[in-house]
Amino acid sequence: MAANLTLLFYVASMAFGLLYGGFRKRALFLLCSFSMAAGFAAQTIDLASRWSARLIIPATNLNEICEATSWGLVAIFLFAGFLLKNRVFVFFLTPLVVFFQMAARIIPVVSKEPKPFYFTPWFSIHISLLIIGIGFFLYSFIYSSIFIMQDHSLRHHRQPIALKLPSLEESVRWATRFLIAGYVLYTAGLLSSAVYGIVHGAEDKWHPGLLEAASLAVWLILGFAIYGWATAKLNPRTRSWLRIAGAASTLFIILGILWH
Amino acid sequence: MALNEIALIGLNHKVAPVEVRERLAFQDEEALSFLKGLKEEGAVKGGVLLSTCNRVEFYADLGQGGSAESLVGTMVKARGLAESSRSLFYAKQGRNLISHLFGVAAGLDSMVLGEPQILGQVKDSYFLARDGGALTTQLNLLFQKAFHVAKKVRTETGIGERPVTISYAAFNLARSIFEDLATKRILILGAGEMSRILATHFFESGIRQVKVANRTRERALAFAKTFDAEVVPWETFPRAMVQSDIVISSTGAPSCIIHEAMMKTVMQLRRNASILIIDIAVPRDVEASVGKLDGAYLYNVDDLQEVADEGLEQRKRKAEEAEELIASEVEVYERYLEHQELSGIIEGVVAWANEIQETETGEALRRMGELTPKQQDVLRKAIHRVAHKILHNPITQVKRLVVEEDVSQASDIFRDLFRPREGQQEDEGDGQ
Repeated sequence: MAANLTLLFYVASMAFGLLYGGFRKRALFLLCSFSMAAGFAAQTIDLASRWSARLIIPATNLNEICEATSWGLVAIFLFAGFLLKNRVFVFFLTPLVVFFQMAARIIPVVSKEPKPFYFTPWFSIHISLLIIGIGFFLYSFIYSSIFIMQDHSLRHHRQPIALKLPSLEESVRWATRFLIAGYVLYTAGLLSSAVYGIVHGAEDKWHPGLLEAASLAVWLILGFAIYGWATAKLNPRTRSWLRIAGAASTLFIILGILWH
Repeated sequence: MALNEIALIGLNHKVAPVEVRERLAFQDEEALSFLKGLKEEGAVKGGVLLSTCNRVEFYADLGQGGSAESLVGTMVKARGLAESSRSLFYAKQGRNLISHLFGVAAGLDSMVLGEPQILGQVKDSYFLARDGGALTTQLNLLFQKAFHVAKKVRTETGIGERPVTISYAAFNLARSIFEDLATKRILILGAGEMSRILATHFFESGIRQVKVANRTRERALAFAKTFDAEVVPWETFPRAMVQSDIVISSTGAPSCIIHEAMMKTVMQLRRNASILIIDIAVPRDVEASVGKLDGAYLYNVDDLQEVADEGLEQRKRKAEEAEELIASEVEVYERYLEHQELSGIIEGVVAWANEIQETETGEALRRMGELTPKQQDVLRKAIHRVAHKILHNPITQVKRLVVEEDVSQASDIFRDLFRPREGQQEDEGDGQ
């Protein structure tokens, strides 16, 4: 019931978000925000009930990770969205939320034996930090994509007016802020897993696979984007492409869960 | 609330040359004294005088029996215009007037289609009339509605979104790149007229950090005075570019003064921060390849003209939407006025019926001698019920005819049927 309500509210928020992109009416933005808040409430109840029933954070298979990613995206919107001056990002954000929701329903569930690590608090910390971190990366992805679109229009002398996108400066600023916030959480998430391994002497159980390779690749690509920003050695367009590539690579982390 | 008591006379850039418009133009004080003079003469009940560089229009509440034609004569005489100029004036009333004012306020009648300044000018004229005591109820309603419609046109059609002039196009581009223009630094290369026009636009939008470089230092100094700018020696302008966010170049140099190699160094020193370069010189001041560098956004005069032309085309399309919106708003407003008028008529008839009822009840009580308070009350209520039962059905029917079937004459017929003309009541009384 709560799961269906979640999807219903998120689809409604997508409809309002897309309409907002076209018409820019405050009422549409508010409707979009309220729908997302309602969906978030329903989703939180759903996730909490599953968590308390299984005693494992509901993020151990691909479906659950997709579900949790959509939760992370909306959580960031509800807690930090009001800071964003240009609200057109809901035009991009809401379809992404619905995409993850739909993916969670479409992908077949693969039942796996829970590992002992899943029952420790470390796992919940590890997953929570990573999910929120990836959520921030996806926001950075949205703003970097906006930058690329604006930059392309300006370089080719086309009017960048269609969606009244934020200025290049604003896009870069928010893409960088989201990247840094996500990077801190993501790094902490990776470290939490490593610390668990060291504390419990489980280093020998660590196997390199797609999940680990993708996690490291994302960390390196986005780390390079931050380095390029801090030293100004990379121009804003290259940094944007790096942020897009890094955030897109998180898809491999999510897929890696399937084979983990 | 008869709309035909309001008349418009005026002329604009489409019908009158600038020589006539400038002679007719009113300063605020002149406008006020003109309005007051007409009011004192009894020529008008009130009025709003809109005077801009492209139009002078007088929206007058003539009351009953006033004439728009005589106002044209008064205005021509007051401004010392030739008699032949009377033919340049247009006069409008009723639906045409409402539609015209709504269009003017929305910028559809402006020289630059859809420009937003006109709404502010219409508001200024309205406030001037209000503060000078020349605003009547009818004019107030009409102008309030015009402001509402103008706002609706701008938000619903987005007519003003795209730039239609080169300077506005440049300004819009800068806004697409930079978040807060007021904190940006602008460098002007060449102190010519085009630079001045563009710089003015940026200066008016809040940019205060202006630098200017010109081969002739005296011209740069004169230019700098206008914009409180810093003069940079011509030889050091590449260094000034490092610290600038927007560069406007309009020199008379026979070949390019900004080359790709120079710009590469500038971009490195800028730590790849974005820069907008507007090259409005012919021949061009900036090598075309500069526009290929990351972070350097180069626009020449043709690019800007193209942006402006696209904007104009889009505004023309939006103007058609705006015309439709205005037509429907005119209908809404007319209907509103009819309803207002009908409410007034009904209130008048009811008041008239109450008056008769009071008079007749008083007369009956006087003739009937001593009655108990209860009997008096019964009689009063009976007469009241008779009067209102007689009026109930006609009131319901006239409302239906006006509101549902749009028969505007119904309210006049209703008034004529139930409200005696002046003196008629007294005559009837005398006859009794």
